[in-house]
This record gives sequence, C-alpha cells and structure tokens, in this order.
Amino acid sequence: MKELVKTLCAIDAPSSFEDAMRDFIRPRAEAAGCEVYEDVLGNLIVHKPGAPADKRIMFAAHMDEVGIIIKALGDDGYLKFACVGGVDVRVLIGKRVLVGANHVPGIIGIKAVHLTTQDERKIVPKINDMYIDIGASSREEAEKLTCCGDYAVFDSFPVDFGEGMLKARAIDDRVGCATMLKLIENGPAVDSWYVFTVQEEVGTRGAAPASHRIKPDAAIILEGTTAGDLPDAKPHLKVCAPGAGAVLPFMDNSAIYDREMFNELRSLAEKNGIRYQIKQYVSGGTDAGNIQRARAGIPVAAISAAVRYIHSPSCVASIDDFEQIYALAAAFLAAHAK
Amino acid sequence: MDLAKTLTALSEAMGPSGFEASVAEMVAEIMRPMCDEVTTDALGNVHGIRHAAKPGAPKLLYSAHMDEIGFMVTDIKDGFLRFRTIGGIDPRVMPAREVTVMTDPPIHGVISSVPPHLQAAGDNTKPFAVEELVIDIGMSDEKARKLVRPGTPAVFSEHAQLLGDKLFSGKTLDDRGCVVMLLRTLELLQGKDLPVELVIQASTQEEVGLRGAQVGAYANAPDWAVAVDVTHAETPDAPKRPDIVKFAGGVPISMGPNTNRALGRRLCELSEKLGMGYQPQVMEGGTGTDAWAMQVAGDGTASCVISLPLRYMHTAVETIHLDDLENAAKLLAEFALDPGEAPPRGPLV
Repeated sequence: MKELVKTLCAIDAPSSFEDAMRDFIRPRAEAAGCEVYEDVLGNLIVHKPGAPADKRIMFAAHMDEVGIIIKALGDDGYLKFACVGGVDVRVLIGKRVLVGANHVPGIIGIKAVHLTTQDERKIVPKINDMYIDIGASSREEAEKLTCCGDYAVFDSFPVDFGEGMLKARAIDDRVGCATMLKLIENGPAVDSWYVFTVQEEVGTRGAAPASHRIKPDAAIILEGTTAGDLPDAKPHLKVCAPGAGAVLPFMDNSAIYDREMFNELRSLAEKNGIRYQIKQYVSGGTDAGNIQRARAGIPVAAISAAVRYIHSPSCVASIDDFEQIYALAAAFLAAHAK
Repeated sequence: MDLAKTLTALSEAMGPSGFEASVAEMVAEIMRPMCDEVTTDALGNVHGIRHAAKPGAPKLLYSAHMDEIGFMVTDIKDGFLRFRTIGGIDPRVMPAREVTVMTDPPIHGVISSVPPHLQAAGDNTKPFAVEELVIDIGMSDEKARKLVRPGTPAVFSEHAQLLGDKLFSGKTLDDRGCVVMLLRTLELLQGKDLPVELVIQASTQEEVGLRGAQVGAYANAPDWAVAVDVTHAETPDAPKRPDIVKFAGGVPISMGPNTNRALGRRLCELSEKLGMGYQPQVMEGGTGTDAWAMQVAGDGTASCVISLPLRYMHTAVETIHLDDLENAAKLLAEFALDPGEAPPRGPLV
C-alpha cells in the first residue's frame, strides 16, 4: 500500500482535472480483467467480475484533490488564482506550486515582513490580493507558459516521515484510490463495483451521477479524514489519530452512516484483528451524502484514514493505517460472497 | 424579432420564483411558431423543442431561467404589508421602491422609508433592516385584508427602456434577457436543418436554488446542457476582479469544474470563428447557475455557462448591452448547427 499511495500522491488532479489519475488507474484495472467505463463527468467506473455477491456492492473514493485554478494573467506576468475546494489561504503563503501539466514552477509570494506595517502583520492577505510568480515579466511571457482556467498543484513530494508516517499532498483521497486499486488487483474475487469519483472537493459532484448509473445496494466510501491530534487540542477535538487504525465515522456533515453497515464493519474489524478507531467528532463530509440520496436511496458506510493537515501541501498519515483500511474493506467484500 | 420590444414585454412581466405561470405562457406563445413542440412540466419549466433533421441525433439543451427575485407578503398590519424576500435582494435598494403586489387585479405598492425629518443624526448612514420595512398600498387595514392575503407575491415595478443606443435597462433582465437571447437563437435557426435535437428550456425557481433546471435536465437527459445566465459587468464601484467582465468585450464562457472542457473549448473556438471573441470566466467551484444542477442530473451531463454581462444585478434597473445579447445568440445558434462530436453516452449499467 505504501508505494501505491506514494505514487498516487505524486499525480496531479485538482477537481475537474483528474485526467492523470484516470490514465494511471484505467490500464491497471483493465489488466486486472475489469470492465472500465468513463462517464461524461470523468468518473471512472470499474466493474470487477467475480463470484456472485449477495448484493451489488460499490466502493467509492475520489480522485481529485484541492488545488488552484488560474483566473487571470496580469499585464505584469503575475497570475491571479482561486482555490479549488476548501483551502485555508494561510497555508498558501510563501509556498511553491506547479502550474499546469508541464509543471511550470511558481511561487505564491508575499512582500517581505520588513515592508509591512504593524497592522498588515495582523491580518491574513485576501486571496484576491495574492498572486503566483512564475518568473514571467509580461502577460505575453506568461501566456507561453499557462492560460486562464489552467490548474496548479502544491509542490510537495511524497516522502517517508518520522516513524511509519507519510508526508505528501493529496493523501485525501489517494489513500482511498489506492485501497480500491489494491482491491481490484489483489482483493477477494467477488463481483463488485468501484467508482473513482471526480469533483468531490467542490461539492461531492461526481458521486451522484455515478451512483445513479451503477444503482448499488450498498456503498462504502474510502476517504481521508481530518485528524486533530495535536498536543494542545482538547480531547474531544482530536477527532482521530494517525496510527490508531482505520477510522469508522458514524456521522458527519454529509450523512448519518447506515447503522447496520457501521456495526458490521466494527464487528468485522474485531473478528479479524483489524485495528480501528471511531471518529470522535462530527465534521467534514464525503461523497456518502450524494450517494445515499441517489435513486431511491442507498445505504452507506465509510472507512477513513486519519490525516493531519488535510487540504494543505503537507499532509501526514500513518502507513500502517492504510493496511488496516485495506484489510477491513477486503473483509467486508469477502463477507458478502454468496 | 424586435429585441427591445420582446425584452420590454418579458422584463415587465411578473413571475417571481414559484409564480412563473404567466411568464411561461408568454414565452411558450413566442416559442410556438418557431418550435416543433412546446411543453410545460410539473415544476413549470417550458421546453421549446426543435427536432433534429435525422433521428438518433444527440440532444442539446439551452437553459435560461424565467423566474425573478421578489417579495412575499407574510402579514398585514394596520393596512401595511409585511414581507420577506424571494431570492436575494440588497435591502439598500428597497426603500421607496415601487412594487406590484400580484393580486388580481394587481395592486401598486411602495416600500416604506423614513423621511429625513424624522431621523436621528447618523441614521442615514446605515441601511434599513428588512424587518423594519413594509409595503404601503395606501389602504385601510380592512380594505388591505380583503384584497391581499398572506402568501401573495410582489415584484419590483419598473418600466423597461433603452439607455443610449445600445444599452437596455429594466427589471428581471436576470434572466429574461437570456430568455430573449434563446428566443433570438430559435429565430436565427428558423428554416435550418439541425444536426441535434434542440431543447430550449425556460426554467423556474432558479433564484431559490436551481430547482426547475434540475428536474428539466433529468427529464430531457441531454448530451450537452448550456446554462445561459447573467454575469457582473464592470461598473465604477465594482471590485477589480478577473471574473467581472466588460460590455461588448466578447461572449463570457465559463471554465472550471462546472464546465465540460470539450464543450467549453468548442464554444470558444466558434466565438473566435464568428469574430466576436470571448471573455474567459474561470469559476473555481459553483457557478450559481442552472449548469450547476444540470451537470449532475441523472447520469451526468456535459455542461457549460454562457453569460450575458449585466450591471446592477438584482435591482430594478438591471442593464445589458444589446450587442452582447445578439452575439451570444449567434454563438448558440452556431453551436446548435455545428456542435462537434457528442460526448459518449456509455452503457447503462
């Protein structure tokens, strides 16, 4: 799992620019003997044939990551931009980014602290006042390197970190994509559906049409979720912790997870010695909300990875957690062979 | 089609969200001679359909909303009408604004304000709170109660007019300016064979949450769905932002997650080909238009937004440039004639 997650975390895919993720996943799923279909929004739908299951099971993980979109090229060669998905602008200041598929290096600059007034130091710059410097000195020069509507990603290479941890951007939700890819390639040979969704970060957009098409009887969402286990955090705001196992949420802002499925996952974890933790706080949301309400309704559950500094260039998660998540998802699938 | 005349008729018509029926009838009436079929659905969307020259053609849907922002009478007190808004209205444009209460026959009203003589020093530097305002219909409590019931809608009352040679101003050009654009598109396509099944949708309840378009797109399951809506045009007091466009500076075409890239690219190419150019409108998330709902309806749709630049949005003096309307109509007609390859439909699982 570690190498696969690392590989996926190095792929660019801000919401609606998931092409490179599809290009990576499609040949591997096809090589594994699956039917693969890309819908009009770009969701990659994979059907893995196998022993009949007692119901139509769909796994879902989103390919997209939070990132940046170029809104305008200034006369002075600087790029104006907006964030795609929820990004705290404070994590952008003084960071490197890679613009477009050609990875043009860029910098989100800020004037030197020496040049600020006392009042300015107390406020966070507004995104409309921020800019990306790609070393172009005019609009014409910038136009050779990028264009309006192009994307940028954080320049943050995945690396092993501390004790058994990984630092990378986009662990949310490449961990879910890696889990699904491993299920497709090495998981139980049970008939099942996998949807690599698009545009989760801008409003869980891809999940609804994909579920409408697949019509599953049950769906499991594989996600990265917020870990708040910092030294000064109040215990109830720690939410979950990297290294403590697969995270099972009972509820978040998108859905109240199906209690039967939640209980089933918990007992499967206990029976199989899979380490898990219950998400301690109601926060965030996933594709579950739109999947649950597709067609005439679909029971949903989620298995998540605890990720620190989620939606930032430098996310931190536990490699062992990835293995626990895979084991639990595989156990669920195996349990539903007819 | 006399654009100014059609704009005037639709601008001055009354149809806040949920109460679009009379506007729908006007729109259907104009569509009928230009369409093979005109239908209305359960939520009141009007669909004007031009059949393709050959069967099995892909389906193209253009959507503009016909509802407008307005007011809803919630209570009557001493002959004055208390209200809440339908859709988003800046309270600062309300005091002394004339409105029409949609009774049968309609009643002329004025939103209250406090004369300067009765104000304390500094009062006039703060906007009125909506809760402080009432609609005055000049009647006794008894008469008012007899004629107006809570739940009656009201809209801005303002006549439409040309401003200079090329600008046109009135209420509800958001988004009936675009409804007229689509009617003009239909006109441009008269007598021409279409390679697509064309659905012109005048949608309902956009201002309260893109509601009509969601079901309209689901029912039609188009291959392409283009929302046609207004966008902010430059004014002296507008922020300097890249998404604020110019009058007559090219057709604003959306980019970003709500835009199917192939569709957006095609529209950009065609606008270049037609020599009118385009203004890229990069929207990093929700576009707040029918396209946002239509993109994820059913199995999903290739969507895009074509915008009509407009000043003073959600006031009774919204203003557009007639060349922008005409150019966008030409672009939409051209795309209907030459859309390129339809996105694959894929298997139904």
